[in-house]
Amino acid sequence: MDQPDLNETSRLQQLYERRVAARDTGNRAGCQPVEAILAVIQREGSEDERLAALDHVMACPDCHREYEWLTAVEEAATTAAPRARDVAARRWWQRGAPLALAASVLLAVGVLLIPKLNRRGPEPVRGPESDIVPVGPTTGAQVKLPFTLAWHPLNGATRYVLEIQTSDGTVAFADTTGDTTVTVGDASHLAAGSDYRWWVREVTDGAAPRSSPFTNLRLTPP
Amino acid sequence: MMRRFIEESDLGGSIAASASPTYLLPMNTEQDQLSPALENVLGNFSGVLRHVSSRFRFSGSDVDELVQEVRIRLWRAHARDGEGSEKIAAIPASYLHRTALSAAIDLLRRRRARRADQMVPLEDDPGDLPEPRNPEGDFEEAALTEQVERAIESIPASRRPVVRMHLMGHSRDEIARVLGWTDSKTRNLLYRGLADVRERLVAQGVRWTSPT
Repeated sequence: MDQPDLNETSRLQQLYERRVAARDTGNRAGCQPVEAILAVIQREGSEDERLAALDHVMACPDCHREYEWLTAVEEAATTAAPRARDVAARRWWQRGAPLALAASVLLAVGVLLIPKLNRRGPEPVRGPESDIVPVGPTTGAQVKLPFTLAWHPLNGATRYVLEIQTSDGTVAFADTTGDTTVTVGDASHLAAGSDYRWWVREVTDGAAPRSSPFTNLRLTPP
Repeated sequence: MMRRFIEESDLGGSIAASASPTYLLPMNTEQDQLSPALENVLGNFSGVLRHVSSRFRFSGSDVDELVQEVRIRLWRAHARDGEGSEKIAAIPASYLHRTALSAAIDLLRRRRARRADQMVPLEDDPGDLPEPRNPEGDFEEAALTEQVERAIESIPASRRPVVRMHLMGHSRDEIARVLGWTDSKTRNLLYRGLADVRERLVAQGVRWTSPT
């Protein structure tokens, strides 16, 4: 038998897809849980976990089909959801808000704003409505190991995922907690003198998690 | 002999058997009439999902089942207190997102569970067996696919999923997004991984000629 030729990547793709499609899918005992597939799509969990899940998903025809399905639903829900919010906003406007209510709101905002204008110190970083508000370190802070990251609790959230990323988005440290603080003491994943950014998102059962904005920090030598 | 009489889904299950009992309710029931705002919200979702699903070659029945499941969940959550229509119109974007994904996950779980219980005798499922073409060619092709799999298995674990994603037809943008990597890192690991595969294949005796 002549030795086969592979002269382009598309041929390799064709062979690989054929191989995956022909795989016996009778027993799914070794398959990834559905939640793990969604975690890959939503970038939840550590990079190692996601790489391991992807390695299986991309070699298993059933898991791959489920990955595509969840990707489609995620994309559709993300695209359609703002439209639903627009509809709600439009209906509210069409009903017409009573002027008294508007006046009350203005008065309330004024009362709340005046003390803030007189207060010293930086304004806390705030994300969009319902998102997680970081407490500290504040953006641009210089920290030494060990240091503690903290954020305000979110109504309805029971667990959070904290990620510290390098400036190119690589996850350098990740932890899951039911608390609203994480103390980082392990120097093995972080390099002194480097810039990082951190953020938190809630752990949900397959939902769009609410999250904090990115906060930059610099790790200084001990 | 058992015959197939229920519609097959692209997600590896049968629609009627997998649906929750409420799915079998006829349309235009009281719940539909109660909530035009719900239909508006779901119409948006359904339209976008149908469009996206066609790109992935999913059948309309999968979309129908999911949309019905989402409809029931939203209705149960919001429409029982007399002002459901208004509330549904004002649902936060994240709530629709959360409901749709949890319904999609439950749908997959049900199908997995049902499939584990399903036993289909071979003689009942002549299915889509391909016509025999060229036995010698098929044998060589099968041997080659085995070599490709062995080559991929042997490359570093950090590059393997990237190569697999690429070979399954996913774009570099999607790989970068899923892994949270920059484009340059993705490109770098993908090309290194493909080079590894090529090296392993050559070591197995597969000739790799330049594109003409």
